[in-house]
Amino acid sequence: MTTDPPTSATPPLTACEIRAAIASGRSSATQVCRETLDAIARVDPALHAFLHVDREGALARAAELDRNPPSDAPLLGVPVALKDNICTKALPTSAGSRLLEQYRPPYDATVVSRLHAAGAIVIGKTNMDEFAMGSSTEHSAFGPTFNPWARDRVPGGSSGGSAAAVSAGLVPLALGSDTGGSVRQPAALCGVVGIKPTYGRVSRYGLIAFASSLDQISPFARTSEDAALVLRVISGQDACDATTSSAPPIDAGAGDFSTLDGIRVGVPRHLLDGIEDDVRVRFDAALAELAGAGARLVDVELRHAPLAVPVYYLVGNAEASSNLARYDGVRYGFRANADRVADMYYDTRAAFGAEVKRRIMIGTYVLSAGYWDAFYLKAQALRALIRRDYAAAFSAVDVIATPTSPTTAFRIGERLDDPLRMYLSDVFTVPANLAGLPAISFPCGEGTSGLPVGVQLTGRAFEDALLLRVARTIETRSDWFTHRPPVRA
Amino acid sequence: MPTLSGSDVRRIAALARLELTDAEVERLTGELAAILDYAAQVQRVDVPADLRIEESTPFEGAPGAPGRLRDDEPMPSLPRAAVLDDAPGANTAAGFFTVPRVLGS
Repeated sequence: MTTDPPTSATPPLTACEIRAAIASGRSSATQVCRETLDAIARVDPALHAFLHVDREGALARAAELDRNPPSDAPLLGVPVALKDNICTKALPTSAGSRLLEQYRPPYDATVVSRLHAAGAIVIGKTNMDEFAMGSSTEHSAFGPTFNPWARDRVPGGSSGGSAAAVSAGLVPLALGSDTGGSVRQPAALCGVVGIKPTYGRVSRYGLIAFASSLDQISPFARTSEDAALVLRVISGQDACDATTSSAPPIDAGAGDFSTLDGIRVGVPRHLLDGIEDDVRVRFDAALAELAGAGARLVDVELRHAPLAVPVYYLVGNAEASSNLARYDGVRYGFRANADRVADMYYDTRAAFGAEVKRRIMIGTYVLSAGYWDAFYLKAQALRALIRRDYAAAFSAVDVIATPTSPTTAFRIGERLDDPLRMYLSDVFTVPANLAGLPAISFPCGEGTSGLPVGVQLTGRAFEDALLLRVARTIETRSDWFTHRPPVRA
Repeated sequence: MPTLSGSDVRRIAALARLELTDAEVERLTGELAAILDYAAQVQRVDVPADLRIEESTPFEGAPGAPGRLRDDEPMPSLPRAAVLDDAPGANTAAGFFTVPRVLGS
């Protein structure tokens, strides 16, 4: 490790502040863009949050925004980083894999088009576990990302680059993808806000598929107001993704953020055995803050939630093995040279990393003759039971609170040789993906180790805005959202 | 719980068109056995008789009834040249993907 880069004392601007500064003429898109690029150049060598930075493209776009500012631009001049599994016409899209190292998509993802239309500037692409498979960003083919709070620690994953970039103040907003907690868990481990919307809220068109029934593009921000701002831009029906709902975009910008009177918060205490002491202490502080704001805490039971991790690894990997069959060297991406087509398939797919191969193997096994009933169908039935548990719980409460992760950020290398232990990082986050429900992680202070802890709230389907309202109410009452890591812009 | 052998791992790898080294087979045999053993706990849970498998669909009951297919009407797609730009070894002049020999020796 080298010494930490110099850090500035002034807090980085939020997306709302940047938009206001540009709209009022106090700043310009070009000035913000230059400062952002400088901050990345200065700080990112210590983090490796970015895989590609689009210096020329971003500056050209900023100049264009300054010349011809669009009339309705909620993200005017706001720099946004994208996880490298979100397709961008102008930039490589590697998904953290050697197989797509040279890939230049011929189209933009729907979220990218919507960000552009809202006046945002895509500043670069961020590091991730290969094909989003991992909880630490150590499975990137291009090396790990370091946690800005402690560089011997992982930032979480799989969207670790986006989380680290927002945490360190390099960008106010970043998008990731959340299949089993890949946005909420790194948000917690890096001390920022991450929200996975209800399944079908945000188009997956142009998101490189991992597990299509679980994947949802999800934002990182340092404030709940910024998270609400970007969600309103990217959510809403899309003709290119048949699983998007006709529900209107998520609107959580206005409302009463002074009280949680009338809100019932369910706490599934039976799930909390085995969490780290630091996590327990901070989670209790978060519950106290929710109660202090007027919420009523109610015990709830999610009977099948303890089975969510095995169900997730069966369903998710079955879908992954099917989705990743497309990497055959024929239409795009890497192709190994071979004399015969069968050899080309094998030699091309040899470029997958160890974790991706492991998951393809699990998925192929559970879909193979003789095992499909016992594993895949049974897991789907349990998925339905997990949804039923939530439906029952939400007849008595409005949101359900758990820690986001059972531990704070673990050391780089610590869990690489123990895949099962790595999978258990996801125990609190996978149920929301299985049930298609919205879930937010926001900071609730640091433990004795100095590392941040996140609290997760899960809501009813399409009640994404309530989660943002609760988070923002806590944000106005505590200083948790303002805590910054030592490595920062 | 089925036990997993090295030949099982090779059979599954062939289904997935993955060629594994001997070291990979050895490592994956142990890892997959541990993961599948852990996952086998799902088999011990009783499923209620009235459960419909469609209830596992994450968007069941969502506004706008997502998941339906659109009408099959021709419409423009990505330009052929842009798609072939990404294709390894494509014959862009003729407008083809190409692959190595499929049949014969």
